[in-house]
Amino acid sequence: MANGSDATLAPKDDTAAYELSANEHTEPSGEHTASEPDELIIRPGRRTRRYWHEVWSFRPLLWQLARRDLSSRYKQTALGLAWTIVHPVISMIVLTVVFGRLAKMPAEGDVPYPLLVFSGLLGWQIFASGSRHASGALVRNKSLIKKLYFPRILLLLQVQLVILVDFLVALAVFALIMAAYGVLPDGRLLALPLFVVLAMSTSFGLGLWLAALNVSYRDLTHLVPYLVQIGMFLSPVGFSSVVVPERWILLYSLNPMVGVLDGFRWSLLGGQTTLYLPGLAVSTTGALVLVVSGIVFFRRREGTLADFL
Amino acid sequence: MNVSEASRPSGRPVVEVRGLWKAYQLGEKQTAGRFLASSAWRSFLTALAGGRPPEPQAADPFWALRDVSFEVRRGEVLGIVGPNGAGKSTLLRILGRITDPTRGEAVVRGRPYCLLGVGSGFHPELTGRENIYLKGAVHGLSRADVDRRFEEVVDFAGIEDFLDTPLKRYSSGMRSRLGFALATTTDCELIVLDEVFAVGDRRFRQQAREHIRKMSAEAARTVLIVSHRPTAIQQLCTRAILIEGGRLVIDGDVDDVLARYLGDPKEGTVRSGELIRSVVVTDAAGRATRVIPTGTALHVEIELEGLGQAGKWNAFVQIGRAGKRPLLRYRSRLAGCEIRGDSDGRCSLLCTIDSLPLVPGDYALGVGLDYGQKRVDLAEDVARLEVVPSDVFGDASELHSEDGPLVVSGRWHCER
Repeated sequence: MANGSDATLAPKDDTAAYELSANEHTEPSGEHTASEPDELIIRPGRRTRRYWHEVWSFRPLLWQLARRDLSSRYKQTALGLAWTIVHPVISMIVLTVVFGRLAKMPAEGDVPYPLLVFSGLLGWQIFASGSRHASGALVRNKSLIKKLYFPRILLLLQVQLVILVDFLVALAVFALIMAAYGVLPDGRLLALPLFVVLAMSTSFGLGLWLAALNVSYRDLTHLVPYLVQIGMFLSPVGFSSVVVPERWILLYSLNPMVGVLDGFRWSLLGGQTTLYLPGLAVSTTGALVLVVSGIVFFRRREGTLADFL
Repeated sequence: MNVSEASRPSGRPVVEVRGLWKAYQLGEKQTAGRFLASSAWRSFLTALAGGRPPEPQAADPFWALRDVSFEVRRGEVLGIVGPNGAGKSTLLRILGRITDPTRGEAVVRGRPYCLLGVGSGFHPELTGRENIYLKGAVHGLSRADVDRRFEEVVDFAGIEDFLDTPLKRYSSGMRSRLGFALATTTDCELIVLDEVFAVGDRRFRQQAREHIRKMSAEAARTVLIVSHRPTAIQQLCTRAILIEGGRLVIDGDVDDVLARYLGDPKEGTVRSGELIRSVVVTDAAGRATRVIPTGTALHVEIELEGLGQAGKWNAFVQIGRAGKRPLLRYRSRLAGCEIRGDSDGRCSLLCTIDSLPLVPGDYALGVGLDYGQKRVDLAEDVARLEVVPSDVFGDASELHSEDGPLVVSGRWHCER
C-alpha cells in the first residue's frame, strides 16, 4: 500500500469501506504491484460484492448513531429514561382494564392478566416502534445522507439497536412485575432470544420497505402510525390467542405477529401457555421473506436515495 | 505556481472519471393517488417479484452532467470552476458516493478520502465533541483513532471553548474550521473541498491555504477544490477544469481555464452587445483585473459604436449577484456625462466608482445603454468580479456577508 506505514489510522479492516475490484479494467501488466492501493469504482446501480463487509467496517458509525438517538431522545425530556418505562406500563394498565376487566377475556392458565398483556406488549413494541421509527429513518437523517457516504442500511440497523435497548429496559420492568406477582419463568426463558430475533427480523424487514418507500411517498409517515394502531388490536397483544376459535387459528396465524407474541408468552410465563407450532412456522417464514425482500428492495434504491430527499 | 517540484504528479491517476452522466427528474411530487396509478407501483410489484424495476418514464430529465471525463494524478491540486448550476456539486456528490451516476463510471484509488463542504455532515443537536467522533466514524475511524487526533483537530479549528456547545450554535466560520480540521488531520489521501473558502475569516482562509499547500507538496496528497473564488484557485491549484452546463469545457493550465471562465480581463469582448463593443474592468491602479478590494476604486472602460450624434444616450454600469437583480446601478446621466459618438458613431467611456460599497463575494458586472426611456443594449454578465476584503471601511475581519450586501464608511462614537 502506498503509505501502509501509518496503517494505524486506517479503519480496522484495511479494505474497509471500499469495493475491492479485482482490477477488472484494462491494466497495464507489470505496473501492478502488491502495493497497489485499493480501488473504488463508482458506477450506476453498483453491485458492491463486499457490501456486508463494508457495513461491518462502518460499525463505529452505527454505535455513534444509536448513542445519538438515545441521548437526543432523552436529553431534553424531564422524565428521561422513565419514558421507556412509563409507556409500556400505561399500555399494560389500559389494555388490562379494557380486555381483562371490561371485555372479560380469558387468561391462559392462572397467569395474572397484566402479565399476559405485558408479555405481549414486549413483543409488540419491537414491531411497532420498528415500523414507526424506520419509516422516518431516512427522512430524519436527510442531512447526513445528503452530505456523507455510508451504507444507508446502517440507519435501519440503528433503529433496531435502539429498539433492543428499549426492549431490555422494558424487560427489566417486566421482571419486577413478575416478581411482584410471584410468577417465575422456567427453562423456556432460554428460548426468549430466539423470539426476540424473530420479532426484530420482522420489524427490520418491514422497516426496510417502509423507509425506502417513504422517501418517495411521504404519505407513509401519516399512514404507518394508524396501521400500527389497528395492527395492535388485530394481534394478540391485549388478549391471548386462545380466544380465537380452533378452526380459525391457522388463518389467524397468517398475521406473522401471532406466532411471535405466542412465543414471547410461551417462553416468559413459565409454561402456562401453549405454543402453536404452525403459527410459529408462518411467522418465521414471514420474517424471512420480509428481511430478504426488504434488503433487495432497499439496496436497489440505496444508490440514489439522496436525490429524493 | 506555488507548488514545489516534489509534488509533481506521478503514477496512476488517483481519480479517473470516464464518461459520467447524471440525470435528475424535475418537478415530480408524488402523492398517494398518483402512487397507485404510477409506474412506481408497478415497479414496486416487480421488485417484490425479484425483477428489475422498469426504467422510470423520463418526464424531462435534467442532465446535470453530460459525458464528463478527466483524471487527477497523485499530488495534484485540481481546481473545479464553473457557474452555479453547472454540475460541479453533482460531480462531487458522485465522487463522494452520495448518489450514483446515471451512466459512466469513476474510479478512485487510494485510501479513505474525505469530502467536505461548508458545515457538511454535522449534526446540529450534538456538541462539537460528539460531532468530531461522529465524523470520525463516518470516515471509518474508530474511537481510539479519533482520540489520538482529537487535540490536533480542536487546536486547528480553534474551538476549545465550544467543545460542549451544540453545533447549531456555532458560527458558519467555526463549522467550516472544524470541518477543514477534521478532513486534513485525518490521513486522507484524497481531499475534496467544496467551497470552503466561501466562509470563515481571513485568518482561517490563510491558514487553510497554507495547509493545503503543505499537504500537496510534502505529503503528496491529492486535493480537489471547488470554488467560485478565482484567487483561491489561482493560488492553490496546479491544474483546473471548467464545467458549464454539465459539460467539461476545458481541462488544463489554471490561468487558461480561469481566463476562459471569467473571460480574459484584457480582451473585454462582449458577446450579447450590439452597441456595446467591449468592456474592460480595471482596479484603482489601472490594472485589468477581476479582483477588487472592497472600498477601493473600480474603473470600467466601455467602447460603444453605432451611436448617432443625438445626445439622449444614458449608459450604466450595474453590479449584483449573478442572475439576481443588480445591487447597484450607476448611470452616466447621474454624473452629468453627455455621451456622443464621433463621426463613425463610436466613443470610449470611462466609468469610475470611487469606493465600491460591496461586501466581499462574487459578483456579476453588467453594462447597459438606454436611449431616452428605451433600453437599446444590455450586457448583463459581462465580467465576473471577486470583491475581496480590505480595511478601507475599518477592521476587515468584521466584514460579514450576513450583515447585508453593502458596506458604508462613517464613524461610531461613544459618549459616557
